[in-house]
Amino acid sequence: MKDYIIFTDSACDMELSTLKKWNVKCLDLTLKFENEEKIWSNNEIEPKTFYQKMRDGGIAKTSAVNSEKFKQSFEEEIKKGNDILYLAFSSGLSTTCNSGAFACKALSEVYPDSKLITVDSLAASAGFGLLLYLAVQKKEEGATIEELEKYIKETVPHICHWFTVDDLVYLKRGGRVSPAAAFIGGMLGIKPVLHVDDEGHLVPVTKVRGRKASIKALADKYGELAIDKTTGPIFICQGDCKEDAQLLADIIKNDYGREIDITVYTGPVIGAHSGPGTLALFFLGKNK
Amino acid sequence: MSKQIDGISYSNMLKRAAINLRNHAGEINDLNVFPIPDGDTGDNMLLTLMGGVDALKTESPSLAEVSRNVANGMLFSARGNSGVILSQFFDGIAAGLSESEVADSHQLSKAFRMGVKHAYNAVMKPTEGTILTVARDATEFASTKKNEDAEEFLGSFIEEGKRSLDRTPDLLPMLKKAGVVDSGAAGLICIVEGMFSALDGDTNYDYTQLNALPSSGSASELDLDAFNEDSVLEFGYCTELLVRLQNAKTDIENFDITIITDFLQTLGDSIAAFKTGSIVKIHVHTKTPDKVLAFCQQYGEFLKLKIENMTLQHNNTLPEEEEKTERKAYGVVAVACGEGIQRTFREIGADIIVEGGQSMNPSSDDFLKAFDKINAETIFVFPNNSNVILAAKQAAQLYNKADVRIINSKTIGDGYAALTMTDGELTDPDEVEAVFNAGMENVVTAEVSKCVRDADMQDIQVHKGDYIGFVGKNILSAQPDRKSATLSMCDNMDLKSHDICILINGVDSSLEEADEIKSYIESKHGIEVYCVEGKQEIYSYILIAL
Repeated sequence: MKDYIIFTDSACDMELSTLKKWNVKCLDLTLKFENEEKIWSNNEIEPKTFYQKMRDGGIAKTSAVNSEKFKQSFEEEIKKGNDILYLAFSSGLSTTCNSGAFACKALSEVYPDSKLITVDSLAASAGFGLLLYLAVQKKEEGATIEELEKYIKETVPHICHWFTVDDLVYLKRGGRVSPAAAFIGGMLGIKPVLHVDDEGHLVPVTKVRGRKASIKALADKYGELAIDKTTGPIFICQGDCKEDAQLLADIIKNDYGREIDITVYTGPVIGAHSGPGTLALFFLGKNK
Repeated sequence: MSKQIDGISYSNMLKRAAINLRNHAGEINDLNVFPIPDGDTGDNMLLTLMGGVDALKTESPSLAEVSRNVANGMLFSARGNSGVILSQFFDGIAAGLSESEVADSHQLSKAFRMGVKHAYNAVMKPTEGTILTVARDATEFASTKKNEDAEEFLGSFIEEGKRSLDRTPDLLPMLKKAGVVDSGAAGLICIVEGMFSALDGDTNYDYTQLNALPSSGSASELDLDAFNEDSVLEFGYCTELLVRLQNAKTDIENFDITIITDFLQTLGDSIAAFKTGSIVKIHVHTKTPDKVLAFCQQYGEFLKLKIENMTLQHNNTLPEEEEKTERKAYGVVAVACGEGIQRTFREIGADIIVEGGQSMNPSSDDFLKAFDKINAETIFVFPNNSNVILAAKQAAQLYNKADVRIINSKTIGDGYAALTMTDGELTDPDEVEAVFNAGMENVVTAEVSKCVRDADMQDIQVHKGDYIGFVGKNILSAQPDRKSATLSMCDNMDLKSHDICILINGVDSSLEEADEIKSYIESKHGIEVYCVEGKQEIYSYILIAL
């Protein structure tokens, strides 16, 4: 039986070393600051440097991975005799998933004996990373490519993303939230609590007074929705706000006795839209 | 002796009332419970009364007609609680005179009693020791006098009114502590005294003084583009001068004002000039204001000058033809003063800002104009001061093109808290209103301002020049310097029971100092602070604890 390779893209916010350990291949979304020529791949620019540029007023635009790039990378593995499962960044937020699916379809015609499957994660950032983490575990347990596809699709509706941003202006600028939602952005001291819905879109759910209250609200969502509060994985992403991430981890430790499995930076590609000060909590929940 | 009053005499009475009130407006403003410069009862009542005077355009001998016109004008120009009550008092008088071409003391008594009734109905919870009490006491006293003479009726009204005014501190402890009588009641006496004086039979009274009085309309922004590089001066300049006659230049006591008016006749029209002591106030429309200045400077020096190109004023009075947008489920009108505060309120969803609320209360008409600019099924109004709510309510009653709801927000903190808690997606007005009301719970607005006189407030001695920090009528701190007063106010506020603070600095305080206060609150009270450059007058700082 043929082996298969899990592909992903850099919107999953997992570190390169982690991906290497998981034996996952990653395609890079890219970004470019306005008034600059240089095109950065997600892993090329230090998060710290990136967020400083944003705080200094830099406006970054991101680009999806195009289907040619997918074709090249997929074909390389197919030629080695591997099948492909590409777990993609939410189609509700980027066209990367479509490009990947298009590449799979095109290559399937050229290599009818190979399996090329694209699965829409309907997730972003380390929520996407969490889904990838679970998929890697399943593969290590011996799941076939079909079994893994089925498992991922069953798991997608349970990937909870709960996050807050310091200023909605970034999401508004990138057109990632509705104008009505972005309206909250101008309110001094009022912080939105958002999540990613079943269609993979960013949706503000409530707003609270102050940063601390918003961080507490994320932990409260864990208490409300988490399926397994004893072992289920918990990830945190922070957009250059380490202390706030620590505060969130402390609340979860204090309220539920849980440690955070993985805490990472919100990578530049996601950060370009969510901005500095984004803090997100990911876990498996009853529903999104 | 004037036994009866007709439309002509009533109109003169109103004019004399306005002139008398103008002469005392400053003193009435100063009858302020709080020793900070936000007293404006005199101005509010004067501007309200001017709405009635402005409505006297056509002369009529019918008392019923004139009193109704006056009342209608005042209902629209009403501003501040005393102004609204005053407008309702005159509305009641007009109702009482609706079938009277002339009135003797009996009709006048009936009308005044109706006035008192309307005035009481204007407020939900009437407070005794205010204009209401004095209007009632004086009307009752005057009504018991058995004579038919209208002049005597007003004389008795004033007699008892003054006694009742002196009793107001006994009824309202707040007044007693501050050592003042009620300002609105004092304004009413002043008005009736003016009315009374018009019955003196002086047919030569100089009513042109009225031209120098403020118009009831609120000042709006001038459109500077209305007069461009190629415009021709058509209307001239509205020129107003306040001149202090100088001993070195003229014999002040015997200075004859006609010297000025005769000269002004040669240069322009709409002339008004009068002399009070050594001050001469002049109003003229002329194309050559330079000549007016040069002439007047022969006799004194200028205290104040205002010269405005009337093309701009003229243009300003043209009806605004704004493109009406699609009708919305609801719109928001917020009262705010201070450029930064107004901008903040626009950012959090106010469609129209009505200027004022602290030292310049908006009139009912200001609200009506704002309602007209919003195309919405329901209009929510956010007052920023309890002294604004009545005028807003009166406007709501006068308006029938939308469901207008006045939110009971008495501070800008209330308005901020309510507006920031909506999500913009609700459309049912009851639900929206419920969200607004819920948002205002547990919100505290504290203010810091400079004292203008010594006062003994709630066991705290405050001195002229001190800064005081207070919440509502509760003084939390008094210190010689602004920053210490603010910090000490914060220490007395139980900030820990709140989530965040918004610190708004005024024109007299710097962002740097605000930043120091922010750091202090964050480290000492462990609460997030967000700073806004409010640019408001009167209050050095406004601190909203949400």
